[in-house]
This record gives sequence, structure tokens and C-alpha cells, in this order.
Amino acid sequence: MKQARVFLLVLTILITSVLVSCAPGRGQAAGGWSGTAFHDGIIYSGTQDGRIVAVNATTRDLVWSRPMITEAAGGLGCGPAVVAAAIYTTPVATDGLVYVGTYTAQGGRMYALGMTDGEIIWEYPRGGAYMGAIVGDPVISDDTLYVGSSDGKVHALALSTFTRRWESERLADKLWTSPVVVGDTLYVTTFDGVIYALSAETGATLDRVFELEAGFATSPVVHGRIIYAGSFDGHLYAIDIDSAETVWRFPQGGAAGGWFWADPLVHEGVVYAGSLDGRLYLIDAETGDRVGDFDAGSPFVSSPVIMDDVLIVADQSGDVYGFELSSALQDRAVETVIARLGAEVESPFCASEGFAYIRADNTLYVVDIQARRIDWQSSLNAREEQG
Amino acid sequence: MEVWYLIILNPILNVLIALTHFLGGQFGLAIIALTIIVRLASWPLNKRQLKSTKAMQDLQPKIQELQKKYSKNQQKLQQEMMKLYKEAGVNPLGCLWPMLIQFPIWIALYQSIMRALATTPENLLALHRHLYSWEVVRNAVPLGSEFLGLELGLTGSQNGPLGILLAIIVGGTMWVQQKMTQAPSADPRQQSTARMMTVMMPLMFGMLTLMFPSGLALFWAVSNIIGIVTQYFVTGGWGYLKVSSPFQSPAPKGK
Repeated sequence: MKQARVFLLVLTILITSVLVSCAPGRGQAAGGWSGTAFHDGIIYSGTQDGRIVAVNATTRDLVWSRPMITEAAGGLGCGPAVVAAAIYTTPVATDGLVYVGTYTAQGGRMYALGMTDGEIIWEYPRGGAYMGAIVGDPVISDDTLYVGSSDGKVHALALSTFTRRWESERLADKLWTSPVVVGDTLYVTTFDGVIYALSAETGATLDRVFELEAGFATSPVVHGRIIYAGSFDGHLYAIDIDSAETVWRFPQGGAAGGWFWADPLVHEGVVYAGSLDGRLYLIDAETGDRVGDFDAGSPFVSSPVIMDDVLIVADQSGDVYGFELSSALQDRAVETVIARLGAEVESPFCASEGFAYIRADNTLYVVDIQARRIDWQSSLNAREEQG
Repeated sequence: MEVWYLIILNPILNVLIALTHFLGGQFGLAIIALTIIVRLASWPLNKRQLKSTKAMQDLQPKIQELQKKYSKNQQKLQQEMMKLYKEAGVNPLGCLWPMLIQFPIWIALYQSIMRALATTPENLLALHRHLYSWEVVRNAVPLGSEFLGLELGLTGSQNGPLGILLAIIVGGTMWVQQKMTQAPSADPRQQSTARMMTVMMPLMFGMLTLMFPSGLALFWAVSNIIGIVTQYFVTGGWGYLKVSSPFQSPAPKGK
């Protein structure tokens, strides 16, 4: 009997260890890293508990909050009846509507919410169906919304009729990047290291513009006839659309110390690219030569933005920097720190009318760029936001 | 925790990703290859465990004699059995210690598979902190998760019929492996407990297969199959799988 007890005890310990060890091993749950959008004095963002919120930038009041809930979780049916979706997409606010995509274990949906009240005006797909879960931001061009999804396809939706215009063939295992529209062509980067050109009209694959051994981590950024895209191999690539040739690769020698995860920004002949190695690189857009760099010591997960000739970047640790575009970046860390948020910045952010609107963890920070301080902040947690 | 990452988790994770690169981007094949590598690396421990099982099998005729002789005196039976084990140099719980020693490796494998799969965008972003600067690793991420029609990042239940089939394979192979090593006992309560465990464990892992990503279940299935095969050849047969009751059937003689 004693032997059996010992056996059972050991067995229980083993099983418990497996279950406990597997829990942290599964990593982080999908929480979403929706960025901020600013339109007509209102800040729109997704929250970590699956809501879209609209906050008045002047009065700082919550205008509305819309939970993006979804049906019962799968598995063994022991999950909650409804679960909150994760929001990775940054809301797109235009023409009286706010467009946002959702991410759940079952799949994703595109929603259009009323700009004034957050009411759901339409959803796609309808009738309880899902498309692949959505991570990359939707892009609107003319009357069409284009979005990539975890089913590996690009979906094009007609905004006038709220119906599907087309869906592309399956381009990859999953598409977590955003497409970019140039004229009548759509360019898409994939984790397989391919850049596709699709017809914006029909979704037909026109060409495999470029192929790389490693995958692309960023969405394509098109400037002129050049596509700029960061890779998991620690390089940033400039690819000529017409010749499908690599114009340059940065760094030219060995790889950077981390992935180029955040979309690069191209402005007046300079590419601004943050890397997960904690450096912001300035690269000559034409030659690929290094113009300068700045070592923040913390990864750059979100993309830089430019407002009034000031380059604004935020590193993952929550330090926000501002650089006069005319200045050299080296050794200016102390001078250039605008604000220390003390919270992780992993979301894209926007800047307008002298302020940067940054969602860090689950708090909205409004940073006054000229005054170099946090003007105000507001928790986006459901329980605290009313206070 | 940093030591755990530095010494165990990160090396296994990077080897797993490098294997994926060398195996044509097939993460499922990499899981199978790594399971085999870990099994080979832990072979000395496994061998000891299997030998202990074999020794227990060889003692069965003598144990059955004792069971008949002391069928009405359980205390005496236990004493005599312990004496027999001692004389034969066998520890009935000895087979558990190799399993315990290997456990951190299994845990690291579980965690590596989960991290490498990067099932959510956050997990993909977090993966960069654990990667070496090897070119093969850089070129392999993010990993494709499709293997034999299964999405290795999805749970068994999300994988539909194939996921259910995988759950049956995991449970079935675990049941066979347990039956091969489960020595019959004279004590009805012990026997009942052992029977319960033989049923409960496969059922539990079958259920876990439905709840956890299928990459893990693939690892369990391959690990069980390797366990059955090595056990078959080392102990020379199906062990206790053929024996339904210690009071009705002779001890297994091997192949």
C-alpha cells in the first residue's frame, strides 16, 4: 500500500509539473497591440481587453467604448460563453466610420463602427462566420478596404455595399502584415520572404516581385518605385519594383543585432528604421549607406513618426525621443528624451497638432512634444477609464 | 529563471528551429527529430529504467509463488517481496528515478515547442529574445506550423477529425506503453489503483491533446512510440501487455 501511495504521489507531482510547466511555456496570450488614430479631435484605439475606445483629446473624456466580443470559445466547451477579441489593428477613422479588425482563436472579422457612437454598422463576414484572424492594419483606397489575415489571403471589401469584392489566393501560411496600394497594384510581404504584386481590381496574383530566403517582418513601404521592407534576417531591403532587383541591403555586411520589426519610415531621402537591437538607423534611401544611428538600448517595436520636422520614436521600455530632422542622432539621447512613460510601447502611434498619442500597456499617453512632457494620461482599463 | 533559459530552454529552442530549417521548413519533422535526439541522449537513463522493468518481469514467477503462499497474510507477503527485491538487487520504484531526472528535459522540450510555434503575435515578437544569431535560425523564423494536415499551433479540438485521431494515438500509445511496464500486484487495492492509472493517464493525455496545441501532442505521440519500440527490443517482447491477471496468466517470457 505504501508503494502505491508513493507511486501515486510521484505521479501526481509529475502530472502537475507538466501542466504547470506548460502554462508559462505557452507564452503570452493574445492581448493585442492596437495603435492610436487621431481624427477630428478624437483619439481612437483598441484596448487590451478587446474594446475600441474613442477619447476626446481636448476634454479627455471617454466618448464611447465598444467591446468586440465573439462567440463561445472552442475546445471542450468549458470556456466562457463569449470572449473578448484581441485587437491588433490600429483603427482607421474616415468618412464617419471607424474600421477595425479582430483576432480570436476562431478567426477574425472586419468591423465598421459609427464614429460618433461606436455602434457596429457592419461586419464581415456576416452570419457568425469568420475569416482568418486579423493582425495587419487594413488599408483603404478609393471605395475598397484591403486587409491580410491569418488564412494567408488578402481580402478586399467594397465599402459602398459592405460586401466582399475579392479574396486573393492563399499567399502564405498567414498574412500578419498590411498590404500597400500603389496605383492599381497591391504589394504584400509574407513571412515566407516573398513580395507579391496583386491586381487591386481583381486580386489576381500579377507577379512574385521578390523572393528572399528569410521572411519579411514588416509591411512593405513604397516610396517612388522602391519597396522598403525589414526582414527576420536582421536586414532592411530596398527592392526596385520594376526590375525586381535588390537596390541595397542594410547593413551591407553582417546582420543587425535584431529583426527589423517596425515598418520603416521614408522621408526626404532618408529611411528611418528601428530595430529590435535597440538602434534607430538612418539610411540613405538611394544608396543604402548609413547616415547615422541612435542607440536607445531598448528594442524599437513601433515605427517612428514625423511631425513638424521632428522625428518621434518610442522604444519598448517606454522612452519617447524627439529629434530635429536636421540634427545628427548620435550621442543625443539625454537631450532628446521627451518623456519616460514607464510602460511598454509595442503599438504604432500617431502624432498631430503638437502631441503624440501613444498607447503603452493599457494606458493612453498624450505627450506634448514641444513642452517635452506627458500632458495627460488615461487608463484604458474598463474599470478605471470612467475615473 | 535566467539560468533555465540560458542552459536548457534556449539551446533546445534554437536547435529545434535550426532542425526545421534543415528539414525543409517542416516543423513537424523537427519535433520528431528532436524527440529522437533527446531519446538517444537520455538512452543510458532509459536503459537503466528498462532493465529495472525487465528484472521485475523476471522475478514474476517467484513473486507469484509468494503470492500463493502468503495469500492470506498481506503483511508477510509484502515483507517477503521486499526481501526478494533486495536479494535480486531490484528497487521496485527504481524505474521512477530516471524518469524524474529526465523530466526537466521534457519540460524544456514542451516549452521550446510552444515558443517556437509562436501561436500569437506577442509570442512571435517575444521569440527574438531567445534566438541565437545563427543564420539558419534567422532564416527559419517564423516557422510554418502545418504538418500532415495538422496545424501544429492549433489545439486538437480545433484541428477537427485529425486532432481527434491524434488524441486517440496519444492515448493509445500511452496505454500500450504503460501496460508493457505495469507489473501485476497481489494486493487487490494496489492492482485496482494500477488499473485505474493505466486508464486515467491515457485518457488524461488524450484530453490534453484536444486542449493543447497539436505540436505538443505530436511530441507525446512520437515519444510514446519510441518508448514502446525500445521497450520491446530491450525487454524482449510486449512485457505485461499480454498479461491480464497475475493470478491467471504466467509471467511474460519475452518474445
